[in-house]
Amino acid sequence: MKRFQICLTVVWIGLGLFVSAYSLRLGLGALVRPGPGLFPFCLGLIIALLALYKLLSKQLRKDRDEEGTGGPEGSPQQAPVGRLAVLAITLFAYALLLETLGYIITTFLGLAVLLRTGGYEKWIPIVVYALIISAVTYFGFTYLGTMFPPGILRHVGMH
Amino acid sequence: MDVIHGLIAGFQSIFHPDILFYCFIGVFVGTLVGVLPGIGPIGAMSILLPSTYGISPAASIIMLAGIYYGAMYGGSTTSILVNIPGEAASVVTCLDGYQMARQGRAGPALGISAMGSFIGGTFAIVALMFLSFPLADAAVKFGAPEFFSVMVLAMTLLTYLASGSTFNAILMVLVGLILGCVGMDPISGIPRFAFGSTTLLDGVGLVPVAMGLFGVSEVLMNIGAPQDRTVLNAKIKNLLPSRQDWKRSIGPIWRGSIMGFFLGILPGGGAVMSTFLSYTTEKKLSKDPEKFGKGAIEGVAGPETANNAAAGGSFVPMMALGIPPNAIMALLLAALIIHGVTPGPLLMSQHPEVFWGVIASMYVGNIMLVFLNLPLVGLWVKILKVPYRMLMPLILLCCLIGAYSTNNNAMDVVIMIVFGAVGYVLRRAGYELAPLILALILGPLMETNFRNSLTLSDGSFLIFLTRPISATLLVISALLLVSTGFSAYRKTKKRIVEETGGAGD
Repeated sequence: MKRFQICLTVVWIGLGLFVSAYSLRLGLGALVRPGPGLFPFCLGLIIALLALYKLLSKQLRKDRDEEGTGGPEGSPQQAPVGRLAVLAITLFAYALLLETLGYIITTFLGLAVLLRTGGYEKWIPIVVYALIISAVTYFGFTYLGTMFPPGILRHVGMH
Repeated sequence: MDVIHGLIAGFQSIFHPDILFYCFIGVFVGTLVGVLPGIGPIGAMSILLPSTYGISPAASIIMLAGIYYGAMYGGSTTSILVNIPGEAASVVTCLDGYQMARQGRAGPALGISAMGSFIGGTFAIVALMFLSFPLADAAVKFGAPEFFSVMVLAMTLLTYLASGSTFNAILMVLVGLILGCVGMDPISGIPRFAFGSTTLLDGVGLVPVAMGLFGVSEVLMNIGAPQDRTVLNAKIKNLLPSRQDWKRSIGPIWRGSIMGFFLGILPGGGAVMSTFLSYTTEKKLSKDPEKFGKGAIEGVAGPETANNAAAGGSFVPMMALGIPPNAIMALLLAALIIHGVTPGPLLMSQHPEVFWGVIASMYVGNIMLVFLNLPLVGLWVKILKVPYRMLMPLILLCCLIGAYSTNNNAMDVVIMIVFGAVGYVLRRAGYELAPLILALILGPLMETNFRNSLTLSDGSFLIFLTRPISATLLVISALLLVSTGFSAYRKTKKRIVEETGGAGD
């Protein structure tokens, strides 16, 4: 967990330096007429300095860093990496295929994977639930005014 | 009296079938998300926000507001019956509510919770009516420096009141402010941090970010965690509290109303803090403090009243000043802006139908919620029995739909997923996410007021200190930051003394 905290702190330093450098290119302007880069430049600088201070104070301290696990959900237990990876890939694939395949097909496939990941083991209930949920949400949200992409189903007349 | 006339006009505007329908949808969905762990009011509001584009501003805000205070009612049901809080503001209710249910007193627990919520909610609405006007009148005198200073104070309070590390909260505020810089510069129109993307030209978008940080990350956190929920099977009876229950609860209810309302106004205060403060207060004041944690009805009445009063109180700064004190109000603010209504000092004069419509709907919504949560409690019990392996895909699907329907753009879904992953990493590292969302909303306003102030003063920072209101607000912010730093310094010094003292032994 300690190494994780240190990595995150380094990320904040990197973010701060990147934002400051980018903001310089935007132009800081003058105090009389502040440019678009002034505000983010100040923010980037402050975040980099604060994160650097945090990193240095962590390195100087011998004991376990209180702040890292003092937050509301700092949780050292092992993450279920496999299931998280499946979930992340499914969600990204959903976003990328949504407009190509359309809402109903993408949702059906995505739900099937999510139901399987969630713990359902038999494929018949998975297929049935996925079909029902896709249809109900399609008609329900369409009634509420949401416009879903028809995807390949536009060839069979769906709008 | 203006207030009376305004309230009458508000009731006249909401007693139409379609407005009442949207109010009912809001409180029903709010109760549902309050009952179900995993998706909170902010997730539900984000999902339903795009559905409001085709309806009037008053109707959309009435529905979205209903979700917020409805969730405060619903959260208690799952806390009492399952010992799992439906949402963060119901954590404390688990302590005594579940114990009451185990003793066969689920009915009185649910009953006093609903009644206390109703009283707290009503108190907050009345106070909101009378407090908003003087606050708005004062805010009309605000200029760019005062608005900038108010936002600095809001963010300072947010970090000061953070339940975790203040340092981490400050980092989250800064990250949120940086995210708020993505898109077109509000003054010059130059693209910033868009990297050539047309999606990012409009900024990262509150809805995808909020749904990612709060909805998707919640699901990711729950993956792998045991989801056993045993709903108490005892028949729920005697929903109306007895005379003895009322006698023990009336004090906590009044104290909870006042405490909750004023804490709800403070940025970073809000429903969660008010429940903890109410519980601690009642335990201290009680003649039988040892009964707390074992089924003391005061431990349910006070906190449940406080969280509803806080929900009402949080409307005050949002409506009167245009400054949201928490992430949920930030979403409501965004919804109002989308509908062309700018909350703030001029809201009551320029859009009285929105202000008074929301106030009147809160009275009606609270009455609807008492009926939803008492006679219909059996419906929520059935819903609680839906297994999480079914809920998880539904929650994710709702998030995906909500993100896509914001702009009918798949890139918003990608942004949501990215922030879902970011939210997961930050939560595991112990960071709070609410400061980030609030800073994302307030950042552009803060920057605009900052730059306008410097232009007004020909580049002099003294403008923030020579204007009395701005100076007062900044001094308070500085004192809060100094006290936080001093407290951290004392902790570090104590630890060093202990270390060197231990090494010498």
